[in-house]
Amino acid sequence: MRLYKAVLKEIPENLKPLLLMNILSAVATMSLVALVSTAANEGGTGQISGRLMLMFAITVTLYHVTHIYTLVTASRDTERLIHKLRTGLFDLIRRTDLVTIEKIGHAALQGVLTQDTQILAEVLPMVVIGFQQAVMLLFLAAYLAWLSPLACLLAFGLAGLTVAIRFSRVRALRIMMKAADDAEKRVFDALTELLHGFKEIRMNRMRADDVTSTLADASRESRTSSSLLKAQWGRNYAVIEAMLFSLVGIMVFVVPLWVAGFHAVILPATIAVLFISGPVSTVSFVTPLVTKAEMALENIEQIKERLFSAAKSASSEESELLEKTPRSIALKMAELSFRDEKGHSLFKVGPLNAEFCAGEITMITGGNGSGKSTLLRMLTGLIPLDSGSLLADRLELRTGQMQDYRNQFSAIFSDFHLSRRLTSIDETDQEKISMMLERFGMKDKVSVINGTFSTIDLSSGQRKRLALIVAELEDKPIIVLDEWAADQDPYFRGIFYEELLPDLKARGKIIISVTHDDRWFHLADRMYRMHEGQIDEPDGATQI
Amino acid sequence: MSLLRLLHLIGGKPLRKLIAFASASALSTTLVLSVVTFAAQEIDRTREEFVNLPLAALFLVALLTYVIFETRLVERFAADIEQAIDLLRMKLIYRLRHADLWQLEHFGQSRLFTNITQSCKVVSSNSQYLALTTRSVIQIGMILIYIATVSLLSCIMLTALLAVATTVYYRLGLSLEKCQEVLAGDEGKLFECVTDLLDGFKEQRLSSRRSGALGEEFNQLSLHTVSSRSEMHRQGWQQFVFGETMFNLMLGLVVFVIPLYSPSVRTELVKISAAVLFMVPPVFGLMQSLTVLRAAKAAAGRMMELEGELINIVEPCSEELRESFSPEFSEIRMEDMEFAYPAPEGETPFTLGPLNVTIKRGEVVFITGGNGSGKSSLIKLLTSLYHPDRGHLYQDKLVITPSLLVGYRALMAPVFSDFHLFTHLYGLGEVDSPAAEELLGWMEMDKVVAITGNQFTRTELSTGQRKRLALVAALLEKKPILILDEWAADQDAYFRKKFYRVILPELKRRGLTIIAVTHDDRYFDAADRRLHLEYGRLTELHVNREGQV
Repeated sequence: MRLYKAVLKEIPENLKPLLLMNILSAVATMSLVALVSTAANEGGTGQISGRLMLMFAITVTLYHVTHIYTLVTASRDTERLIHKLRTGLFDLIRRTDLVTIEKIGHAALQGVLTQDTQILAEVLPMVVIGFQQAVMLLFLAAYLAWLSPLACLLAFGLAGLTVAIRFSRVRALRIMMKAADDAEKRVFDALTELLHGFKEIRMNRMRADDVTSTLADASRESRTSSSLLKAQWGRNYAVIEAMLFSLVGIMVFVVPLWVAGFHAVILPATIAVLFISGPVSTVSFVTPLVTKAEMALENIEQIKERLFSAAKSASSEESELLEKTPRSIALKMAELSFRDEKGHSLFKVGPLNAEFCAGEITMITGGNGSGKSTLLRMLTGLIPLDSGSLLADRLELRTGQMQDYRNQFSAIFSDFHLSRRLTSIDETDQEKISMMLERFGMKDKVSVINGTFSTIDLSSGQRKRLALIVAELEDKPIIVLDEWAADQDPYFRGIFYEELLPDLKARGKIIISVTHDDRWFHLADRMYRMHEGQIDEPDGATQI
Repeated sequence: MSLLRLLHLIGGKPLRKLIAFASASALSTTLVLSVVTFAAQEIDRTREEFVNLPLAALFLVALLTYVIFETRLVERFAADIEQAIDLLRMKLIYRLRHADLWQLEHFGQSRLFTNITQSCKVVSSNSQYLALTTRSVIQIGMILIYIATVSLLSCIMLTALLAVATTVYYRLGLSLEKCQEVLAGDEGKLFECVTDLLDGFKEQRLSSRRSGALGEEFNQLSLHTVSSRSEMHRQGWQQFVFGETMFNLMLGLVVFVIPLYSPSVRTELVKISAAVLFMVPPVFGLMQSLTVLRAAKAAAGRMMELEGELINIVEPCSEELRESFSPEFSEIRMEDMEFAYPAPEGETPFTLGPLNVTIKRGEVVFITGGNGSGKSSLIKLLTSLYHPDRGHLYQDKLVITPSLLVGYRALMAPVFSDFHLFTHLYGLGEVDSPAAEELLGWMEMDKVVAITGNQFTRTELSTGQRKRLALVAALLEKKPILILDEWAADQDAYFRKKFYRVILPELKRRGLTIIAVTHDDRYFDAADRRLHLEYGRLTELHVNREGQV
């Protein structure tokens, strides 16, 4: 039903011509059957009429053309449907706030954007041909009914039974398929343990024995469950095929028992039934797929609904611009709590008061889990505060300004993402890029072609250097660096602290750096130490 | 052909049985065909409605035979293939288990994963189609023979047309495969864009421009995917409809052309038409499984190839305890050990060593040094996981030769910096529960995790917590030497203190020799000795009880 609605809503344009062509192709099939039967009969008399041959030629051509038109057009339309769903989802996600995205979860979003749309892309063409063949069956049924109503009734009764059997067996088969997949996953998991824990395994022979025997068990289990699955598949397949053969059997062994005068139509009826078995097989194959498509569509729609309300409120953050480039930003009595599902507070950050000024290097330190990364998320406006406020140039930010405020930041978080394409920069200044690549010792490894890094398959330290180059090119007023130097060797660490940060400072940027490198703490104009979600009393740093 | 080689791994003559089943199945369908057409013609000829009971019985028998043999065919073949996969997979894993660490690290893990898991899956999930292919070939042959018994001319003409049709169909399939490759490339880009959005969500929230560009790019890529998928569908449907049309033409050939040349056939046209229609499923099935067959063949080939490659990375004498090795020792020693990392042409390779270190039983030794100074490699040399270019390891006076490696390694329990926490406590046999509980309590993990059977109840924890569990597992091994690489780096201040002030001294008191890589200068005094690495050179620094050097 969802599928039907989605088709009506998103791709209604070609439905009429499609239906028409589909009917034409079914008519062509029907006349083909009639022509072949007639010709086979007339052949007996030794007289082949030219008219019949001409009609045959026309029918075959019509069949060919209408078939291709129906299938190709319908497939293209379903692709358009998928495109609409896919880009709609993508844009919704783009406009949604971080909290909602993290609540829905990465895996679920990835699932709908890749797996579910992929399922639709693979299944819908099958549904198309299933539908096309179903229409064809209707016309063949009419033809057969014209030859003999009872023959038609019996043949289509059996055909319906075939589809039903196939459908009813899908569930059992899917359960077995899942068992086989699970067994395979256990092999994969055990193999992962072998490879990831290879050093540990090499250190201890008994451990190696245990891991290998676990793998052997998993492998054997996978073998058993796959074999069982295939045996079941084989049984299903053979039974369905046998039922299709029985369609013909009915014509010659059953129908003559009841229908007087059937001898006159037995040959065309037999041929007609032979034509039916192909489409019946297709329809029986496709029917279960409709459920699959419906499920994928349901997933997509559910996620869409959840995103929709969030994206709407997020878009209210785009209405206003900041008056000017901020010279200082600050958190004022900012608080944020992490809660479990029941709403109990797990960890509280704040109230935080901290100011960050242009032309200053502000460093933030603190132990693991002290709340540094949360502070950055609060400060960059990625998560809304429970209470307190964000200031720009000492004025409280309005909701409508939030997106413009966020646009002032270049940030390299500790869980940063480097994309191959330099999407955030319009003009790529080749000279500057190659200079930066050289400075960061990346010139031999990476180049930028058409605004795309030639590779990002690099170590995490190297990718961070590229991310820094991107941030430099973005040239935004505020730069946030979360443990940038942690993965760098001493040489680049030196360049970072002694050349890059002072350079950014000289250019009047607001520089916020989370760091543990106490050797360079003296470079900080301001220093915030975090401890259990609070900023410690400033020690040696300038007071706000 | 690699699939057959794969199948032959299980020994015996699997193919013979397979062909027997396939032939029986094909024969029974041909029987169905001839019985049905014969009966239909009888009714037509006699102009009377009657049911030929013996014929009906024959029909049922043929049908039953078909079901039995078709099922057996798929079942048998799948079982054989699964057995072969199981064998090969375990062979690969056995090789892998004995691999040399350095070589394995440079072999490419993703290739191992894909070949061992994915390739197996490709072969396994398509086994039924492979079985049906064999049957289809035989079936087509039998139907053609059946036609020949009715009319030789028809058989020749139909075979010729069929040959032309299958050739063209196959060609169309090749260009279709190219479309599929293009599509796979486009989809790869599309999915990369999804990753950019989801992994880089925070980044795009901080830049309207980036967000807009990302949206536009996704739209473009999606349109691209739409057009390449539509093109693939177009070609796919053209191929399919071409196949159908060819069958229609074959029917036309039978009813319009053949009677002109062979008047005697005229009464048999129905038989031949029915036979043509009976060929539709096996011909289409065969054509479709050709692609699958090629993919499965390639996958089987990759797996067999991998087997050969893995031989080359096996560590000599791996896991063979050839000489008796005494776990009693008073010191272990690195003598003149050197290790060079391969460097690109023209650059001087980074060299570790020469390393000369003696570690006495019961000592607590810290190893310090900056990032990239070679600490982790030193640990791998000391544990004999890496093999030095020069120099040797000693246990007292005994030089550690390859045949002693297993015994030597058995002295040590390590927690590496890139440690792996196994969900099961593999290799411990029966877990000493009181000891395990005590250790969990000691690591303050007893509220979070328990050990049931030989398994941690959960392992999806923070890195610091998982390291505590890894230490529990290492200590449960009850080895005389404990090796730790930056163990405390992910612990909070409180537990770090506990580790250096309580846990280490207690372990030392219990007689363990401890070698720890560390950065925690506040606790350097917890060591008996401190070795410092700088650019691959090792120096010994003196430790006094204030922790100052």
